[in-house]
Amino acid sequence: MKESNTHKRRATDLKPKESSVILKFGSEEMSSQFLEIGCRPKSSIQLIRKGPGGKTMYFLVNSHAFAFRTEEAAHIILKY
Amino acid sequence: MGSDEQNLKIALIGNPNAGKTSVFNRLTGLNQTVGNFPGVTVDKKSGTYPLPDGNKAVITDLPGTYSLYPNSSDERIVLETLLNQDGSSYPDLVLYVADANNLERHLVLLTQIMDFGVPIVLLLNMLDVANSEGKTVDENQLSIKLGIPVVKVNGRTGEGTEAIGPVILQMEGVNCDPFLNVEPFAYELEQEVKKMFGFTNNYRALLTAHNYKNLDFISAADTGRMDHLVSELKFNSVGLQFDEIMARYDQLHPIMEAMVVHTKEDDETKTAKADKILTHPFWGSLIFLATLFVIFQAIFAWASYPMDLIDGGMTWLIDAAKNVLPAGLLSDFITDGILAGIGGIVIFIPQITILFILVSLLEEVGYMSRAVFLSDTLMRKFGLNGRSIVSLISGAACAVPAIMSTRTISNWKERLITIFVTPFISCSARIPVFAVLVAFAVPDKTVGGLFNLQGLVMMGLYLLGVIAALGSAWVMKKILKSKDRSFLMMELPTYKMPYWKNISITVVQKVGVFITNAGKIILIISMILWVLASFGPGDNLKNIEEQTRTEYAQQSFSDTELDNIVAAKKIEGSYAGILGKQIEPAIKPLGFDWKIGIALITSFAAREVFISTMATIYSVGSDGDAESVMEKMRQERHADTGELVYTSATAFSLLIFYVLAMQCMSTLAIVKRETNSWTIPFIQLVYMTGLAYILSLITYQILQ
Repeated sequence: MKESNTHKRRATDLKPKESSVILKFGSEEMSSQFLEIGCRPKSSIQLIRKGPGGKTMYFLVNSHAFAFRTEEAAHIILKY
Repeated sequence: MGSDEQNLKIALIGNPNAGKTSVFNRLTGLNQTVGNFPGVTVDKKSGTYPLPDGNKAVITDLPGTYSLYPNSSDERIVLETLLNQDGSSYPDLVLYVADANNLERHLVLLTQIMDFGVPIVLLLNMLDVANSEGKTVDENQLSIKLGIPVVKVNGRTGEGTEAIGPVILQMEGVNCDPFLNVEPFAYELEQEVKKMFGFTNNYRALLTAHNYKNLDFISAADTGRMDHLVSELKFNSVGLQFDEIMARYDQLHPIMEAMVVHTKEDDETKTAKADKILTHPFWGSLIFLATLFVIFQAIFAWASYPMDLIDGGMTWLIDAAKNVLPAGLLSDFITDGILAGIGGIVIFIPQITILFILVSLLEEVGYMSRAVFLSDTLMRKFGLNGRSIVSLISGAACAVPAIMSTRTISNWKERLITIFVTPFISCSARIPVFAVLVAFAVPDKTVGGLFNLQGLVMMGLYLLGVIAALGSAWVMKKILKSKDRSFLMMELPTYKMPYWKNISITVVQKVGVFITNAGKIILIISMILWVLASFGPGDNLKNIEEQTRTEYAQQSFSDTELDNIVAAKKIEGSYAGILGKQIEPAIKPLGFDWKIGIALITSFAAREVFISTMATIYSVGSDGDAESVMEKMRQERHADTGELVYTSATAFSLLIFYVLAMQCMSTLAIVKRETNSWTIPFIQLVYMTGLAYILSLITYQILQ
């Protein structure tokens, strides 16, 4: 995984219904947890909606539904 | 075979939501027992399974986990069970349940377990759902590629489960080949660990290196040696975990590509459609509140019919026993001690059953994780986790299972706060106390043409409990410091039709645990109480009886009236009376007399004992028809002032006390078990009871 200095687009930047592909994870510590539940580089990811208060997010990753907090979703770095 | 030692030990393992419990219930039915894993607090659900050769296997349902890198105490069990080869729980064979709908991810953990070399059988579950979404799996090819037997099952209908037995017999003692070569990950360290612990398996050594700090079977000295090794060999645990799981996916992916056939394009699933409303910030929250309302309505309204029946039945039984048994001490002990105690237990069964049915129904259909998603933001403001909502809701039935359900919260601070505040939520044991006292203090009338005033006050009491819970959580959030990362990161499973057999087995088990745990205490307390109320120091009671009879002999009392006066005087001189009088000065400012004092003392064992204590105090020795107890309480006057004991001020003060005080030995015991020390239960006892005392004092002094 090579680092770039340009602005990284994250899962939190997605708008509802918008899809993308996971490039990598921003935190080494959390990356294996993402992997375990089936979110890994090259997985498709779509934001479905935000929860009440806007601090939780409902995603479809490879067509499976997940709830992440915004802090967690911010570690998901997108391809485009 | 025959003895437990010789039975084949099978561990049932899988990811969360793989349908493991359905399969477990299918295989073992009601032949299940709930025990403990040695040294840890997680419940161990085991069941016997008859093998085709006439022998028995003992299947243990292990907690669902995504990998062997655990994030919560629940998940750690799976790792510990597999790593501790000499432990009593180490399996002879693993049945691995995977959801065919999301196979690649579900097989990651399977490949980890395969690397231990333990005999393993893969059960492909939920193929019906996969098929309906246009996916088919070629299980023969899968079996060849993985090198282990694959059985198609349907945990919900039981289809295919009959094929499991023969495969188990085939595989017994047949170790599988490792899936991934883990040697290159940390070669030197693996060799050192193997030497140190006498392991032969590379993966066992690697996992020990990753997890040694949290493994019970590793001594402090070995931990020190491991610390040294790990730092000397610059072992990067976090990075290697990622690399290992990534390597597993890389190896699995081509197999899956060939094995899983998609016959249909993804279209919007039923789950996605339902979630549009159910997880909508506004409508979803509203539906969640409505769901909570229905739960409480069910506990109050629906449960009252079976409860009335039980109440009537017990009264009848006690009266019948009194008529049949010869009068005397033994008869009194059986009716007022034992039967009254049993009555105090069975009366809760309807409410607890209804609540457990509803909570497991919500879990079974997949709604509970949506409730967690909806409430996480709010819960975090109070230092809790979205998952705390499950505990808080369950707390309305009983704090004991509620506190056990906090194990899924991986952050220690959030889990501790949840454990600490859950007992503030009014459990079903408080309902009878509330019901009696509200009936005393609040007139039974309708306000606003719609609401029953007593019902509103009841609601208010529940609300007070919720406010106390959230308020205390907020204070703890400010006090406690934690470096642990808090996270939600949760799968939202697809909605499923409830499978009633699962729900009924869960409910029967949980109610059973309640009856045996809480029931034992209630029964013992009732019996102790009867002894305390029936005997006094020396010849005290005999003297009191003689004295009273002589004193009142000249006055024109009927025999019954005289008996009641004697009974009241005797209880005052009994051990219970002496105890109650000793604490009277402390509780007098709250408006309580020594009789309430006795009830308070016994209520520290379990709140529900309050009513049975009052019943015992007011009926022991008298001719004791049960319904007159309430009437007696209503007429009770303070001996010194002649004022009524049960004024609204006393009743409200007592209500506030019962909402807030920690009065449950079972809860304290479970908190001790879950936190591994008496510190938290002790603080809980002092804090909750102190808060109860202060607020009751204020209530009584204002209303008086």
